[in-house]
This record gives sequence, structure tokens and C-alpha cells, in this order.
Amino acid sequence: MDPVFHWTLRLGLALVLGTSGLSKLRDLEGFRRSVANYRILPPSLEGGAALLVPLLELGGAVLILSPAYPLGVTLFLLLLVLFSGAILWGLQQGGGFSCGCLGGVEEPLSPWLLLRNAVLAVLAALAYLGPEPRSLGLLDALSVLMGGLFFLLAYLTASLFLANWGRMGEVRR
Amino acid sequence: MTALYVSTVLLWLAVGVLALLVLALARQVGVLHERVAPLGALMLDQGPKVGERAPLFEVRDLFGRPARLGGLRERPLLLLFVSSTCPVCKKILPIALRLAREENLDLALIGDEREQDLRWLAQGLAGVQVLNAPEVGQAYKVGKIPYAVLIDPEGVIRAKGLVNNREHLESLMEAYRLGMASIQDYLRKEG
Repeated sequence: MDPVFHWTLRLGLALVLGTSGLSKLRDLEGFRRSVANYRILPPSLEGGAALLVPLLELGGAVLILSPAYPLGVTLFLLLLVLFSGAILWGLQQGGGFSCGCLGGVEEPLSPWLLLRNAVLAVLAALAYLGPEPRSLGLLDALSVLMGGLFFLLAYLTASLFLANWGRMGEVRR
Repeated sequence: MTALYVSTVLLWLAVGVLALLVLALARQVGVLHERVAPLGALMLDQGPKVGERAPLFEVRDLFGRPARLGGLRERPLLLLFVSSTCPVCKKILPIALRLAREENLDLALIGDEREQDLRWLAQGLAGVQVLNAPEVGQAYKVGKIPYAVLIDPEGVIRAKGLVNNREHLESLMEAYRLGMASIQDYLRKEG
């Protein structure tokens, strides 16, 4: 794959993962409550899991930017599978609570989250394809930087739209 | 080549600005929702609807006394879904007690947690049924608390919604008296 695409993907994935981890750490109590809402873990483990998940996300973000990026991508995919499983389980229990995907954003559980995770998984898997050698210039650096930023902003906007969409249902009726 | 370079830089800048603008718009829509939505008690469109018969539960309260939720009864019943971990619930409890006394309602507190936590929350409340009954919350699909459901003596749900303050709780009584599901419903019918 062209190195610009490769690096844009990696930067974007790292930014998304890093933002998720940081936002959860900043709203740790809120995330702990989200974990509790899923009712998957016994209450004694909820606090630990609420701390472990954002740390794993931050670790994954660093790994994706490091030369050991295939490891980071694998961690990202594993986390996606874990989250999607939890969301599926939560939906089966009737849903009605925030997914806890981003700290400070009330995103209600919905099947759309599964679609979003699937898109992220495909993009992450593409990052496994290494970069083809080619000389890079300043313009390529700009493309990677802006492309990565766009990746993150698109993700955040999608999250906000999903959050607003849940409230739409309450207002429209 | 220069033209390509310049246009790419320009386009990337445009994409960046547009992405930020869309994000800001989405945030604004979220803030607007926060301002607009809770007109009276917010009714989440889930669970048994207003006007339907309330599901009947025969359970035991925290002190082992039998309790009956739903079905025919002498007085209207106010179900209040609470948790010891929710600060707003503690604030709403005395308000709900007063409302129940003034409006001649039976009040039932329903929790879904450890019994000692619920007991701590309900200490000093006389004449109130306190139940630790996850199945009731699931039947009403309660996603946010404090959540209240008002059931009339015939066992029909007359109003329900998220109750964060006195106005929200009173709006349930208002809806009951007017025979409207919610203030939103009232506004629609009145045009």
C-alpha cells in the first residue's frame, strides 16, 4: 500500500484509540458506571476493568505508532471484538444505557455501534499491509497529518451524531 | 506541479475546517437537545406505554412483607426507581414522600442493588414499600434513574418518566389529572 495511506491509517487509528482511552480516564467514574451497566463482570472486578480498558487503549495507540504496529493493530482488533461482544450482550439485555465508548458522551447502545466497530475493524486490518517504499516529501507529511486528524474528527462526529440520535427519539415521538 | 501542490494544501485545509465545523454543529445539536428535551418529566419511549395495564408483580419488600404492584387497589401507586449510588435519587426521595402524602398516593421505592445499600437509602422512611426487585425495572425498561411510574387504582399506567426534580414529579400528577400522557402530548393535542 502507498505509504501515505498506510501512515494515515495508523495515525488515525492511534488518535481514535488514544482519544477513547484519555476521555475514559478523565471520566473514570462514568466509565465504571457504564461497565457496571453491562452486568458482565462481578461488581468486585468493575473498578479494575474500568481502569484496565483505557490503559489498554492508550497502550494500543502507542504501539500502533511504534515499529511494532502489527501488535498494536492486533490489540485494537481484540478490543473491538471485546467491545462488540459487550454491546451485543447489552442489547440483548434490553439496552437503554450509554455504551461508554467515549468518556463524557452519552451514546446509547444501538446496533449502529456494531456497524461502526466493523468499519473500524476493516480499516485497522488494512494497516496490516505494510508501506511500499517510496520517497516521501513535505506534501506527504501534510496528507498524513491532515488525513489522520480527519479520521479522528470523523469518528468524534459520528459518536456525537449517534448520541444525538438517541435523544432525537425522545423528542420526536 | 506547483499548482497541484498548492491545490492539495488548500483542499486539506478546507477539509480540516469543514470537519471541525461539522463536529461543532453536532455538539451544538447535543446542547440544544439537553435544553429542549426535559419538558416536564422526560418519558423514554420504552417499556409499557401510558394507558396500558401495568404488569402485575407480587414480591416481598425488604422487610419480608408481601407487596403487590399493579392490579386493582384502593389508591394510586407511585413507583420510584432509585439507587443508593445516585445523588439525585436522595434529593428526590423527600419530595416524593411529600407528594405521596399530599396527593394520597401509595409510594413504592424499587431498587436493583445490594439489600444493605437500599436499606441505607431508605432509612427513616415510614409507610413506604422498599423493594429490591430487578425484574420490575426490567419490565418497565428503566434506563435512567430516578424514574417514576404512576399507576391508577384500576392498575393502568397513567404517567411515567425520568424525574430529576420537583417539577418533573409534579408534571406526572398533572398528566394524571389531565388524562394526558405527557406535557409534550398535551402541547400536541392543544395545537
